[in-house]
Order: sequence, then structure tokens, then C-alpha cells
Amino acid sequence: MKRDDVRCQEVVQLLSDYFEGALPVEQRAALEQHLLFCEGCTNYVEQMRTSIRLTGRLQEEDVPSPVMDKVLEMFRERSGG
Amino acid sequence: MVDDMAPRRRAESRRDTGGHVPQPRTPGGEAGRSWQEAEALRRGDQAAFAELVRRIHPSMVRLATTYVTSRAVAEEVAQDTWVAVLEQLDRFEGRSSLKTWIFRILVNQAKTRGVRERRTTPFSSLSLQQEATEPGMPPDAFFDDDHRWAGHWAVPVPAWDMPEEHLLSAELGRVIQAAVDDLPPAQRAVVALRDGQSLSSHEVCDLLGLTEVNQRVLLHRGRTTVRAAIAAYAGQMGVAV
Repeated sequence: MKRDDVRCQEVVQLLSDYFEGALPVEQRAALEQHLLFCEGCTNYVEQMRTSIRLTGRLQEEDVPSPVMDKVLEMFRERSGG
Repeated sequence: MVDDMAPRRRAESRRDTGGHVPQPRTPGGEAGRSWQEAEALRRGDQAAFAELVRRIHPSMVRLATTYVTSRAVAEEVAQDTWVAVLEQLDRFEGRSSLKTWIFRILVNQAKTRGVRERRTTPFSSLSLQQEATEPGMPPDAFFDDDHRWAGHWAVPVPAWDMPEEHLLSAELGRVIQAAVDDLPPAQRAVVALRDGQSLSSHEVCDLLGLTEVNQRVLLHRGRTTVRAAIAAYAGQMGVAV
């Protein structure tokens, strides 16, 4: 298999900068070139995207009923007052 | 290409055709949504308020835990924040999103409480330095420097071949919550706000008083740990990871 100048370890280290658009153009191009033929890194990038998407589900956590009842009570008091 | 005149043209076209014309002072986009949400709360729309609480209260508690000593105190801070939000709702001007505004009130409340408890700030340079020097990936994930494939994967990284219903299971949801909650404080705050609540890097830097670079380092560390937790869960479930 052909190898390039970018190490897999660097891809892992630079991934958030890559997602954030914070990499210089040359480095971004080198990373994307590496992804073209490195299956491990391609899978890692996809895993990270999935992980970020699933972390977004923190917005679906349950609020305990007593807490919800309490803040709704405060809301009704404000609206009625 | 941004067309500055487009909104005016659209508004004029709606007037011409007798269609709906928005309130003149209602901003568009995300800001518009926040403004409408705040208006709903001001009108006493309890369903809208309950939905907002459901969406952000757990993240508020999580963010507060980075400043105070216990989860119980963090819960108190989050509830005190709702009191302040309801008191100050008329002062919300829509210059930030509603939830960013609420998180700002929360951070101020939590800081005050943290100072009272003499808790050190999680965003001091010393704390950040400590979090940044913790190992990210296990050292044996890559070949050593003396290996001909130095720095390349020493272990296979197969695709997560999990069906969507598996990915969206409540059990995996709890795994992710626990992974985020177990992160060092500054990483926890950044991951919860960026990935958990979809705030922008600019909003998070502003809210937590971080530089862009520090914010990215914390986000990266935190994301690496959360990904590893999902990989470990998938491994236990017998899914190839």
C-alpha cells in the first residue's frame, strides 16, 4: 500500500482543527489526500462524526419530574403575576 | 454570495401579494427563532417553556458542575438560573440566541456560587494546562518511532457497523452522558456546549472566557474520550470497532 507524508497519528491529533476549518490549506489538502487511501483514518473520521452527532442527543435527556414541576410552577406564577 | 437586499425584496414581495409580513423588529434566522421563543415565553406559553427546559436544563446542570463542588449544588444553581431568566425575560434583546443568554446567566450564577465555595476556576491556565497534558489516545494505538510505519495505526480501525436504532438506543445515550460527565471540568463544559447544545466556537469562547485555541484543544480531548466510550460500548455489544 502506498504511504504518504501524513501519519495516522497526526490525522487523529488534527481532526478537530480539520472539522473546525482551522487547518492551513496545505495541511488540509495533505490530510484529505491521506484519507483517500487510509481506511483506518477514514473509519476514524466517520466514527468521530457519529460520536459528535450522538453527543447532540444530550438535548433529549430527561428532566426529573419534581424539577420540571417546580420550574413550571415558577413560570405560571410569573405569567399570572 | 450574500445578497443584503434579498430580505427587503422578499418582504416587499410579500407585501405586494398580501402575504404574511413579519414584525419590523423581528430579526431573521437563529436570532429570529430565539426572539419568537422569548416572545412565546413572555406571552405565558407554558408548552414552549417546558420544551426549552427539557432541551437545556440537563446541560445547565452539567455546565454548573464545572464551577461548583457537587451535583446537588449544580442543580440548585440551574434552578436559580430559571428564576433569574423568568425575572429578566423582558430584558432579553435577541443579541445572542436565547439559550446562549440563559447559559450566560447560569455561568454568572455558578461562578458566584463557586467563589462562595472557594472552588478554583476550571478555566485557569493551570487547570487548562493539566487537562491538555492528559493522554488522548492509548499510546499503543500507533506504531513506535522505530517502526517502519511509525505513527500509523498499529491496530485495525474498522467502521462502526451499527444499525441506526442501535446508535439511538437509550443505553448508548446513557453511555455518552456518563462519558461527558466524567470528562475533566473544562472539557466537559466545552463538549456539552459545542456538541451537546450546538453552540458555535465563538459563543463558547465568549461564554467561558477561552481563547479559540484552548477551546479547540479542550473540544478535541473531550471528543476523543467520548468516541472511545462509544467504541468500548460497541465492543461490549459485539459490534466490530
